[in-house]
Amino acid sequence: MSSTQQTDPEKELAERVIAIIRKSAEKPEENITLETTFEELGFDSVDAVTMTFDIEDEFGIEIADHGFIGVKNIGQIVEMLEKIMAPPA
Amino acid sequence: MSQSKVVVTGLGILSAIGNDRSSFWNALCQGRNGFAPIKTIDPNSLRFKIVAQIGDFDPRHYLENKQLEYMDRFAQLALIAAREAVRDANIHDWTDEKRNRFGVVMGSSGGGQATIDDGFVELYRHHKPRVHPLTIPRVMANAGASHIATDLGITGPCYAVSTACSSANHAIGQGFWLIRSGVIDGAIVGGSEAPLSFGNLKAWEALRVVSPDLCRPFSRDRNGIILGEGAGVLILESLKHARARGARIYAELAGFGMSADAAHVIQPCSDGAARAMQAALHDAGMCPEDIDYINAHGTGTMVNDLTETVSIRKVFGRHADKLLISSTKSMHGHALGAAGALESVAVALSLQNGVVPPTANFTEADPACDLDLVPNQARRADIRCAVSNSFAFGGLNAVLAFRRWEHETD
Repeated sequence: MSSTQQTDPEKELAERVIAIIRKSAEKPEENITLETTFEELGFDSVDAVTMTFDIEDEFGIEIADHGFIGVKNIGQIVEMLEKIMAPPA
Repeated sequence: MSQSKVVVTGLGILSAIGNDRSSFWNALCQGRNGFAPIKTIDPNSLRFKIVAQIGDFDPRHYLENKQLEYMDRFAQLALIAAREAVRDANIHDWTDEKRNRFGVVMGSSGGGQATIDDGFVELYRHHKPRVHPLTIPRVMANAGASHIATDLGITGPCYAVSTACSSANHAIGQGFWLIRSGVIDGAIVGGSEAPLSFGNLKAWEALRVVSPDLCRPFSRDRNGIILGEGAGVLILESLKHARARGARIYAELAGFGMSADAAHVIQPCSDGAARAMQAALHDAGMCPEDIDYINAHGTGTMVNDLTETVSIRKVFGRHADKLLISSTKSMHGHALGAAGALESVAVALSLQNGVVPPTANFTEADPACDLDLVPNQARRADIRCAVSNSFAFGGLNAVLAFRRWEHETD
């Protein structure tokens, strides 16, 4: 998924995720996009745990302990959430 | 004031791998863990199911109803282990003067967690307008220390230390210094923790540091801690006091070092841990080459075990490759404010028996933790001196240094 080809529900999901992440960012005033990496945001493992909690709370879902391991940028989080929240086929 | 040597003369323990010194030591030597699905809470209500819970234990066999009414489980564990330690030390002749020359220093991270939970259930789930009138004395973190003093009639200094996972080591170190400086002749020291109440477990679950299956300290595939309950109590005495009554001596407690990371509340810091180890060695008059065994903090989280390895290399340099290092949390679990006490019991028995308990559940070496971790099999070894590490959330580090007791020089 690229940030320029989003449908409205996808865009809304991305905006909600970015709003959550902005709360923990070292410089929340900076431009945060789907391509922004957690390294750029200065996230440590505790920030990741707090972000996961906030996402669970926001979307009413539960994420396994290993859920976001290896995730590098915000776009990957949005992609994972789309899969988790997709209606069963 | 002249400095007294301080010796360990009694041990008491309650843990997932044994409720007395012998069964605890046997389990450690066999590399047997005490991990099992939690029995007291619906496991479907938690993301992790495995804990280190004390088995075959009913506090009503040890304590009167009237005592139980005043005590959260953490205080019950403290008192029962303390009685066992005093019995093990074979101290009988309690005079008023001796009671006044003994102290009690106990650690606990969370105090009466189950009592807090019970009160909240009454208020918020059952919508009761009140909680039990003994909630406050049950919850207070000094309840363990106070009940020990009351039950045994100890009238000297008595207090509690709460420094999360370093609580017991801080408590043991405080008692040690009180004796060494001549303030008291003996002390009942250690820690107790009863963290397996639902609300507290949910808090640990939220932190995402608990393993879903097994605690594998220093292994490449380690994935977190296993929470444990328990109590460890040591009887410390000045050498003069111990000799005067012909006490059996397990080991000498020779040094205590503390430091604060002053960095991050949760992330450990190798500099802070290293400074605490150096302080303990300095306090004991030891050099790094004197140490043969380290009972590691070794929680089984990625970051702790990596940071601890770095800190050990900082302190011990090339001698680090000669050290035997094990984490007994791989068997008794992480008992938080009691952890250092369980581990001090393990170290005292290790020095006495010339055997190093293993790092159990070890699967695959992590190149970042390139030390001799005594994987899975206990090892017979000529251990002269040993260090026991505790590093806590809040960046608080407490390290104890023990020396083998040479009976021939007694």
